[in-house]
Amino acid sequence: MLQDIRDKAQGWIAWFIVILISVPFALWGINSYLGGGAEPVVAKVNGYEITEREFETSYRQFRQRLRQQLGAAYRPEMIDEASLRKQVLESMIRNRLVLQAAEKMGLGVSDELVRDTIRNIPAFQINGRFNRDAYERGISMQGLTSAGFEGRIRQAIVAEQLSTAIKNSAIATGAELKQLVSLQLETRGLDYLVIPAAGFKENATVLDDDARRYYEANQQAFVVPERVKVEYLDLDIDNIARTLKADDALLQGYFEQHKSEYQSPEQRRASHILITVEEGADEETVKKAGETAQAALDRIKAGEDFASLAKELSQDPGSAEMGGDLGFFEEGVMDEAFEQVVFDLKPGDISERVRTPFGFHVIKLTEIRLPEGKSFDEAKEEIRNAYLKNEAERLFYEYAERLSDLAYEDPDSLQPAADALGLKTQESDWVTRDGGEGVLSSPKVTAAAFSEDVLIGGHNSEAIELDAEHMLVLRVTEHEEAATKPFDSIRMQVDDILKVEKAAKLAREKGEALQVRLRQGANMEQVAGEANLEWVNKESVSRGDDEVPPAVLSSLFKLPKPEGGKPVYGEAALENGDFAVIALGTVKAGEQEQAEKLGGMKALGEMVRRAFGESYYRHLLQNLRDEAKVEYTRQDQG
Amino acid sequence: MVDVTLSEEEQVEELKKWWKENGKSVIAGVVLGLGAVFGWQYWNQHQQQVAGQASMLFEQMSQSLAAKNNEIASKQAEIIASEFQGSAYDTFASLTLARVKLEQGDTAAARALLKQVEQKGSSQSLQQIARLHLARILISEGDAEGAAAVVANAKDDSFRGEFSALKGDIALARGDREGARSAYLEALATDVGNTAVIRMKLEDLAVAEGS
Repeated sequence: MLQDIRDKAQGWIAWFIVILISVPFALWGINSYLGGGAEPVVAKVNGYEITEREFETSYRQFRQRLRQQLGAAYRPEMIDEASLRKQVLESMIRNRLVLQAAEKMGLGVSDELVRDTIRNIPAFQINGRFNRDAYERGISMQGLTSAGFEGRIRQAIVAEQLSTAIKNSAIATGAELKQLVSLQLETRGLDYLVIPAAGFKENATVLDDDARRYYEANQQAFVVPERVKVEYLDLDIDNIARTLKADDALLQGYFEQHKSEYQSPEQRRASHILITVEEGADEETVKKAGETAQAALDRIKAGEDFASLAKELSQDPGSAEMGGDLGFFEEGVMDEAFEQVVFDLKPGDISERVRTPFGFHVIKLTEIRLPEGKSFDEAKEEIRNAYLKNEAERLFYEYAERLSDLAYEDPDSLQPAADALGLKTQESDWVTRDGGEGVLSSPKVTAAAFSEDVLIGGHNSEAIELDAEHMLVLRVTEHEEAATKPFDSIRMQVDDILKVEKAAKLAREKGEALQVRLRQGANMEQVAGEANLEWVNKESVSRGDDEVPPAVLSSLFKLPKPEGGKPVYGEAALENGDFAVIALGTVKAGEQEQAEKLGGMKALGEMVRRAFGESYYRHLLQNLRDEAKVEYTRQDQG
Repeated sequence: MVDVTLSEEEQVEELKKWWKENGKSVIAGVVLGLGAVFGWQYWNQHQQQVAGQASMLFEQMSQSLAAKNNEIASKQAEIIASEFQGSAYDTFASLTLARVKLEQGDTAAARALLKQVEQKGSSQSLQQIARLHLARILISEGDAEGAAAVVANAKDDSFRGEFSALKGDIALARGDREGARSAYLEALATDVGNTAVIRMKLEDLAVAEGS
């Protein structure tokens, strides 16, 4: 029977069925059958699933951007992962909502526009022109196909269109701008005096009970945070250098190798007469040249001047004109045979005939410049430091490795590591989670000191790399939980706080009394005189005034406008406890002609438009959010 | 429908019989089905094409605006509004054109455009924005009552703070300082743009304590 089925399965019936099945695939593609669903999802936005993979990619990209923006200030351990993740997810949800809204509104993008947009992305251009290879490399680096990337561009354009439409259509009416100018440039006439709190503080007393009550009520202000003392080994180049020794022989060797850093070498100045011999010349020619050179030498020996003879006979075009002078040179510059002769001569001496690959020379040593700089003995300390530092640098990685091994092998003490490496353990003062002094201020150090294994387990920390050539291992020697300071130890502090409070209160009382006097008809000058205080009069104070204390300025512009020529009185408590009494005399609306002060009407209009556009767009987003069904499908994201 | 215990001839017979009875309806069904699928795809494609054209024009208009070329931008906006009537791009263009008209001093035209979007705009948020713009223009023209009528149509959504601020302006225009104060306070209690300005307006209405 199975045979029957197989036979028939190859007949036309089978084909009919296959065609029937393949029709839907042809029309809708196989994707809709295979579907997603298997991937973990972090959130659903109106049914659209944001997968964990998408989210992690976005999150990674966001952190990368953050790292680039912050540069050196970036500290991974300072980042609050949870809130950052939440932020990224929210922005993904927002983007998705905008896309859904755009789709619902029927926004679309033509292929042409997508193409233009991609061609204008600078990252895909080489010398200002679109480059296909750069494009393909760029998108494959992001792990996208070109269809996928085009899809993203499409989405980005559509989302942008919605916000552009709103921001471009934002308005600022003439009346609004007028009102803005008149309010923003308003000036007010001000008289004020300040009652200093300091005068009241001296006489203030604090009762025991009050101090204790304050202490009880504000315990959190007197808490000493959790803290530890640590013992640590600090491994850096300088510390390693301190453990090393060097004898004179080593230093001498180092000196010889680095002589040029301490001394300039001996230099000699010579002149020569050259009779050239071509390479590969026959014996006859060589012999002849030798004789010419010998003749020159004879003439010199007979008393003729070297320089003028060089000018006459030398075949070295560079030096003949200069009377044969070659200038100063040190060992290793000239031909070996030539050099050997030069460095054996005494100043003023003339050599015998010298054969070099160039031909025959007659050489005169004209000058010796002795070595300059420090001798070995003079530079010994310098040499020692340099040598040790050099050695320490060479040894750093070896030491670092041994340090982390030793600290790990004997987790209950740093002494073995210290002994083995010749380092000294150091003790710290109290260190809180906010960091300690010096090398202990690094967040990496606190993270290690307060890690479970070190704090609770009492073990050595892992080796902490502070920077390229700086490493530290620590262990906690003392640990104190957060505790409230005892009352007696902070009594003075509490007293001071309460005295300032009391003084501020007395200053206020006095200020209020003065206001009563003012309302009864006395003027600021009289009142100030009676109280023996300075008073300030300013005809015209603007909102941005920087001479008047901020608290006074803020109060001044909140006062009701004076009517019937009678000043309006007000008050302001200053930050330091002083108290100000204010009289508002006049209010003058800002003049339209002065709009230039705010950048001109045009700029002002743009500013207002932008502000409205942005806030309207924000409301639109919020509306989308309020209408949407957003589900967080992972516990830690919600 | 195929019984494997039957011989091949019998099966063919069966099938032929079945086809005679149902053939027409099967063909009709298949044709209808395919027609629906292709029709739907064609319609979608057509929609996308139309949207793509409107979108292109909109981009051009945005570029004209960025280049401060208001004349050309308003021509482009008019084309979008007439060629793609009822689309979202129509709404975008009308809103934008209204702003250009306002800047050109043609408040009547601006109001007419906004009135249209207010009623037929392609989303509630865009309608709300048109309402706000319309009311603000009316207030600036001194027509507080007209503005109040527009504000009365507002939906209660995230734009409520902006409408509260306008209610303050309207109350002030009517001489109701107390009403204006409470409206501004209401606005400041929500998420609202231009808070600094609203706060200044509020402080400008300060009254002496106890009076």
